[in-house]
Amino acid sequence: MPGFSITLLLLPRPDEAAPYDATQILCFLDDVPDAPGWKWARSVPPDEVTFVSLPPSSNIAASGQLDRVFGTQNREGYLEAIRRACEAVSKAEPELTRMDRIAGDGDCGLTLMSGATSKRLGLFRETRAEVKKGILKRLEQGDITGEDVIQDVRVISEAINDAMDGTSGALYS
Amino acid sequence: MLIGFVCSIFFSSLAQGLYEKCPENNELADRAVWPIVLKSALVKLYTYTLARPPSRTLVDPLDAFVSTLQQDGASYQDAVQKAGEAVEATKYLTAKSGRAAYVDAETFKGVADPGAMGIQVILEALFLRVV
Repeated sequence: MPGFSITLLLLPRPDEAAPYDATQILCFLDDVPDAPGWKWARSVPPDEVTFVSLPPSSNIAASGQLDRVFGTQNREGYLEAIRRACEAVSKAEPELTRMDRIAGDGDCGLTLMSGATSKRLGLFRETRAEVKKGILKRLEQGDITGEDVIQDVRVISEAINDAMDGTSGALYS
Repeated sequence: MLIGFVCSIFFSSLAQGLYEKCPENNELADRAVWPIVLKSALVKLYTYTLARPPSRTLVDPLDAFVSTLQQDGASYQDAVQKAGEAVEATKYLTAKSGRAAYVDAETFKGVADPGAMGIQVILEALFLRVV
């Protein structure tokens, strides 16, 4: 086979509330499979897990209090527009899913909807330590205020990373 | 194309752009500011994906929206309309990236790209008055 691939897996930190800790997850990965056709298994015990601290991110989406504020022209209209967008995505979900079943893997609508509303169908969501909040939830909670657009976009960005699936979290920071 | 991935990069780049392009305290995020920061977020997104319009991905309407806003005198509604045309065009495009690039093009001829459609749903809800 030409080429190779590397898969990175973000393991939970020692202080993180997660259903399984890092060592358990690594043990699961190293477990000997009995699935037909899956012959290979690592035969040596996994290396000890070491955690490294990353330098503070320069990405402002992930950093703390900022020294500037960006207001909105029409606060009510702005908040209403965000709500409308979330609701529209939710409403469009069945149609997006239908379209994605034709050409994709059928998750496009649900992924968008979970980012918008934190609703999530599926097995894995219930096992999470906490419900991940989507944009609408953050809006209802008063985290998106219209007083500072930079802060609001950061909250939206955070909600997307929390509530949308897959690769989204990996690239963040 | 992975929609979570794109939204994540786009919005964190948007926050970064707003912060960097905002010259003074208490400025308003208005029609003069959004084209600049949206463009910077799109440019950032393009460092992560090779998809460029026309690609049958959500990049098509996103790029159309952001590019139209760069023109003086173009309204948000104009930009949303251009994005809508880009979505319509995905019905007859062969996918060059994303999941749809690996499946038989005949199976989805006439069906718009769902990611592109998702972007359009968001844009329309944001900028067009609901009746």
